[in-house]
Formats: sequence, C-alpha cells, structure tokens
Amino acid sequence: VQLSPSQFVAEFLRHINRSKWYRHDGVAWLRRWDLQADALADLYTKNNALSVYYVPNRGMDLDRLITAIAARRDVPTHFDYVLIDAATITALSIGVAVTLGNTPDAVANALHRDLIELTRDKLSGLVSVISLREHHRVLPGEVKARLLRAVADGNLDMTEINAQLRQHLER
Amino acid sequence: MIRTAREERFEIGVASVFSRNLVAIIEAYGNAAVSALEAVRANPHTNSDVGAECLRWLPFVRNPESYKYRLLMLRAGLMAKEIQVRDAATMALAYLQDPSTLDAVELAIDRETCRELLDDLKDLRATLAQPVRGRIPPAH
Repeated sequence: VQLSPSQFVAEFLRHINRSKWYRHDGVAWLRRWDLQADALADLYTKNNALSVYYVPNRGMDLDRLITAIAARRDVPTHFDYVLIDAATITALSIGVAVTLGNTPDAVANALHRDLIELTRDKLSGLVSVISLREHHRVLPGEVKARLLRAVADGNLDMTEINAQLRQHLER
Repeated sequence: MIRTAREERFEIGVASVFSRNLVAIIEAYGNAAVSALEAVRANPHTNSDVGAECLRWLPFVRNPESYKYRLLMLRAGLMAKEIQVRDAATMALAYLQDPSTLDAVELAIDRETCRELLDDLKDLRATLAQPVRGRIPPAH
C-alpha cells in the first residue's frame, strides 16, 4: 500500500450521524455559519467521556476499524464517521484513556480510546472542530460487502456478531 | 409509541425500543401498520428525528406483503422538507437497491440542495442504473 504523507498522521475516528451535521445548504433555517444543535447530541458522552478509535494511519487501520464498528450494530446500514487528528485533541487539552472496545474484532478493540474528563468548553471545541472536518460516509452496500469480506478473511468471527446482524448478512 | 420515541436517543444501525416496536408492528400487521405510520410521518408535528428513524428501519422489516407500500413511503421521504428524513430515505433506498425507485431518485436529484446528500443520490442513481447482476438483492 502506497501512503501519502497525510495518511501517516495519527487520528481518532468517531462515528457520527452525518445528517445532524449538515449546514445551511441542506437546512434552510440555519444561518450560513451556524451548526444544528443536534450535532451536540451526536457526541453522546457517558461519565464525561467520548468513545473514539485510534487510527495510527489510514492505510492500514481505517477499513478494519470501520468494519469492526459496523459489526457491533444490528443492521448493515450506512456508516458515517469523522477523523480528528491527534494533534487537535492535544491542542484542545483533552485527555485520552486506553479502554477496550466492544466490537467482534480484537485488533479493533485494542485501538479503542476514551476522550476523558470532557468539560462543556472542551466538548464545544470538539464540536467546532468536527463541524469543519470532512464527514465521511460508507454506503450500505459497501458496509455489507466489507462485513462479509472481514468474515471470509477471518478478521471477524461470525459467531461473535449479534444474531440480528448475522441474519441480515446471511440473506 | 411515537410519543415515547421523542425521548429516545437513536444511533444509526443500532436497534432502539422504538425501532424494535416499529419492525414488530409492521411484521404483524403489514400494510395496515405502514398506513398508520405514513399518517404519522405526514403529520407536521412529528419529530424529524423520529420520522427519520422510521424510514431507516423500513428496509429491515420481514414482511413481503408491505414491501411496495414501504417503498412508496421511502420514495415520498426523498421529497420531505426535513433533511434528516431525506437523508434517511436515501440511505434506506441505497440499502434496498430496487431499480423501480430510479425515477424517484432522479426527481430528488433535481430538487436536492445539500451538496453531500446530492452526491449520495447520484451514487444511488448510478447503482440503480446498473444491471441487477452482482448487486445485493432487495431485502423484502
């Protein structure tokens, strides 16, 4: 795999609902520079921590992470996500804790992190950063294909995938 | 069900109490349930988050009898005022990949103002225009 320099930058992946981050061109009532309030709710914190995955580099890890996170859901629908570079998290003075993920892929689980001790200001800063980043989307057909490929490659254990998703993959 | 759904937090692809009930009701009552749901969706007082969640789960209902009616709801969703609902309809149709929806997707492309969603609709149009072989069959 040939990587461009930007692909070596360490980043964090956060799954999002892209429709909550649409700006004025899709949301007529929104002022051009503003953001939907629902975007804040999309960064759902628990115990003042936000679940993310560490992406050491895009070329090697991104596809596997996306597939692993999609594998813990109930249906093989689209997957929206954003990448935040690690330097930005440092600049926002946000702490990072290593915690185990809960996907059916052990390699992906080891890359799980919590952004911890989040305050109103830090979360607000994070929202502003995410609003300016590219919001990526993997379409449903591609998600389903990736899940099936990961099972075939042995990266995902079909027995670890929840029954409902398994049924949709086997159809 | 719709009233209590307003209090729920939805995550894409993850079943909620609302989505479980929605799927169960349509699987039990077929077109009658879709008809009731359509009326709720059309009500301007329905929360757009709940409306979008309705559409997101329609492809995953196992009830062949109501398939065409569900497809009609998704086609209508492409023309919804709320972007969350249009987004949900687009992704539900992208999952189903039913070529009979190509005309509705083309109409939506003509009207869509959001650049990102427009790109998704164009991708969907390209997929639907392909020969059926090799595509994931619709989940009835």
